Amino acid sequence: MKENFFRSMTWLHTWVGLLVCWVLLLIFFAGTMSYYRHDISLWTKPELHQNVIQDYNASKVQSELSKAQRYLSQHANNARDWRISFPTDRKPYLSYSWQTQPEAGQRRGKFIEHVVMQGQDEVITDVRQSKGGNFFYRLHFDLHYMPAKIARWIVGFCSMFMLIALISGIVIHKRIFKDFFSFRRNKGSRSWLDAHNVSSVLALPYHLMITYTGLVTLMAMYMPWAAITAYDGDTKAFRQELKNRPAQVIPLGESAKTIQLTTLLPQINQLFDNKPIRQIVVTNPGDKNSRVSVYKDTGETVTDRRVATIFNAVDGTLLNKGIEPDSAAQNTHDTLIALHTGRFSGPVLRFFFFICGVMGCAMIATGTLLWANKIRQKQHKQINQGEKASFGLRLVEGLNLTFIAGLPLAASVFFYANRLLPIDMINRAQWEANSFFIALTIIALVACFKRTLAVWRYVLALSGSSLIAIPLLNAMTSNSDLLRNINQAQWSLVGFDIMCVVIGVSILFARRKLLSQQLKLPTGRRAATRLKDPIVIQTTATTGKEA
Amino acid sequence: MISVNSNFKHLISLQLFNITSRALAAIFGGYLVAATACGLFAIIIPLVAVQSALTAMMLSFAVYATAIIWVFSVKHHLLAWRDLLGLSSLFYLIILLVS
Repeated sequence: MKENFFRSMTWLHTWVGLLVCWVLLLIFFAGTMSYYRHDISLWTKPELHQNVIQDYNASKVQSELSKAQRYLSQHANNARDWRISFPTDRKPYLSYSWQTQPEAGQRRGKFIEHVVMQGQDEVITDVRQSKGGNFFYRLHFDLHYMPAKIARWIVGFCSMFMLIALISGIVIHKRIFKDFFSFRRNKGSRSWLDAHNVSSVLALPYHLMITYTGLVTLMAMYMPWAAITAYDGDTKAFRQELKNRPAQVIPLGESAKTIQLTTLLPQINQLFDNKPIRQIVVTNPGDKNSRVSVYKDTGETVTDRRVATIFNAVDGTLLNKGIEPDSAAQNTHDTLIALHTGRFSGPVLRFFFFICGVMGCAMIATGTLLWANKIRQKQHKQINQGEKASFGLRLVEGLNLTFIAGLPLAASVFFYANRLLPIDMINRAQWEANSFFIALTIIALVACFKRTLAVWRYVLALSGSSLIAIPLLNAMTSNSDLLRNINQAQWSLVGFDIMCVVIGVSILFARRKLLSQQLKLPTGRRAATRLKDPIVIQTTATTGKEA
Repeated sequence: MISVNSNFKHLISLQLFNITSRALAAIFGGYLVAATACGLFAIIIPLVAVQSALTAMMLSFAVYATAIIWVFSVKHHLLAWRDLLGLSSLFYLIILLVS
């Protein structure tokens, strides 16, 4: 392509990185938030902040289960399924939920969840409508406002770009160890390059892992060809065999009494080796053709596929022991997916995953800032003579402002909307999501007209201070506050508040940095408020000219 | 900006054509190689069907990535097309022969 392989890869790295980096940033951002999906969901439902959180208690399972069954048969008699979820580390409360019969033309019914209070006698039924952490989880691969299938192809396409950017990045990074230890502050594009190198190299194994496993999670959609050749075009058979899941249970329409679920407990405990139960699902309750599926709490096991132990719900016969088929390929596949989702990780490991995700965001952001910075240097002269910056540069700078400064603000707006929108609003959950995108759109509109440092500082100040005020918001709009949560050891809620403050403070710190950068520039020049560096430095690693 | 002479313009259009051709080769040609390789692996890896299919799918993205890097490293963009199309038709032929 260019004179040599090294140069070609440099070119490839720049363009592959630049073309989709804003979508990638959105994906990385949402994915990083998803590590704390359940904690975010809990925070967005302040009705559950008091007297709800509890640990799994094996000795209480029997009484909990019989109460659950009584409750569900009273309140959800005609449901499509019942789900009794026991407290786990990630979802630390007991809940009864059910899916109503789907309306004509719909595949799924409405999902209703009632949460049981500590002491088990009262049930919270009026939890506000909110997507919570699931919003970010879905945003990560389904994006928004478009069919999931199209979104997943877009995400896959961008992931492939990411993989290529990583590989070509490694190739061009000859001095990987030397650069790793050098960080030159306040040196304009040289500093952006160093920041890009540090955030990329430090978490490189993570970046490679997360990109490849991301592709693997949806590989049956992207690369169905293996199933097509191996199963003669019958991809359904492949999926059936892979998931080891029995076909859907269709109700017969004859009513039959559901077995007392507690009578299954001894058998379950024996099969599970007395390990905690995560969830019990009764499909088609009250019908003759009804099943009880029991799921183990996989805890910190790496291969955490959701495999059900299945009973007949009328006579209680064991239909499927739910033992996973054990093979190298299956286990590899499960491990790759588990590595991506990090479901197995405890608090410390999860935090490291989160930090690596943040580094991924930093890698993408610094990469595109570096590009914008260098192009602006190239056009320095023309701009100073009063010419406009090129369209490409204006576009990149606008998108940078929208996504880099805008995403934290949009997330913060989402949390505020969650607490401030009227509780009984129609489509409330959707309006929370809308407010996220409205915030992003407003910044994009501003970026169409003005992309100066002053705008950056303004947006950063707004998102920084609004994030710092999150504990205050929480205290005012829920029945508890940070101190009380610390007292009651509600670490999910405490962690959320503190994390918001920490991120808010770092954003304000970044804003201060921008302020000092502006002061150092000579005054009275037209471009004085623009992000630029007067010293043009040869950046060897990205131009490929080895010094 | 700067006055552009026709020679330079010619070069730019050549370069643009080169890049477009390579990008198309990388995205579609690369996918073709990955897809055929994926299908081929699934029937030649000597495991139970579900396992060999899984393995093939997991490997296919590495094939795709390699193909893309290949497209951007060969001397001429037509060579990239030749290699990718040649390789994928070879894979496809073997699939037809084996099954």
